[in-house]
Amino acid sequence: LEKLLQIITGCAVQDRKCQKIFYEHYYGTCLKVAFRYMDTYEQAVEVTNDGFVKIFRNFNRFEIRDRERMEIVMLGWMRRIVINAAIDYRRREKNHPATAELSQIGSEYKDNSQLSDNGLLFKELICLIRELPPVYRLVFNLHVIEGYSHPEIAKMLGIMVGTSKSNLFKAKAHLQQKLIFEKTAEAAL
Amino acid sequence: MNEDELGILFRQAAEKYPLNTEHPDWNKIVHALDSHESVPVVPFHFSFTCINGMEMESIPALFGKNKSVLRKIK
Repeated sequence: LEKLLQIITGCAVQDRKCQKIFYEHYYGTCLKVAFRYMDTYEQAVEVTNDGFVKIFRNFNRFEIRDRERMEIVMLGWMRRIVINAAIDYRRREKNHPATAELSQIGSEYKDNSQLSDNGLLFKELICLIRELPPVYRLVFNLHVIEGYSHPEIAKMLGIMVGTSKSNLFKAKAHLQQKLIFEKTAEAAL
Repeated sequence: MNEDELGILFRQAAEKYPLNTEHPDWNKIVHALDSHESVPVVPFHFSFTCINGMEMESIPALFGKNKSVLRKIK
């Protein structure tokens, strides 16, 4: 805890050594968040790095009120910045659409071994989320994974609360259908 | 599968999926930070006595501690 406090203090005064330690320690956590929002691994890396630049530029805004919960609060703050960076990226992409295709299961994953209770690999489940149309994916990630409310999502994305609810409903229906399909295909093998 | 189970399943996947998180590129971050810092930065403990016609809410959070010294000039 003391070490983390020291690093945070260093980051707040733009100490490069502390920033490097901080970046290398939390890079994975932030990349995993960004990856669920983006189409390719490379985009997720770019968004993660954008997020860290924003985090470091704004570190002196981070207030420590409760030392015991410092890391949890800080992770929530960082997660929010990375998500906003992903949303910004999506907005820019909307104006200048890229031709990137959704990554296939490849080198971005470390191994194939982790099975969920449902019998599907965790990475297959994440692929199902990433195959959703972007607007459904955004709302599903924000509501189901991150726990934002519909009014919060509506504000973040500049959409109506009803649209957020409707997109979530469609995203869930999509995923349910895909899960049934995957299970049926698995059973047929 | 009901909605709660669906949520639990995907939250678990989001936490545990094995993404390759090696090779963070620190140099990129330093480059972006350095290019930003070539622009004059307002010091953290900057204190100002008045800002013409500016609403309190429009003062960035960075200056939160200095809000008390702000006064609106009419």
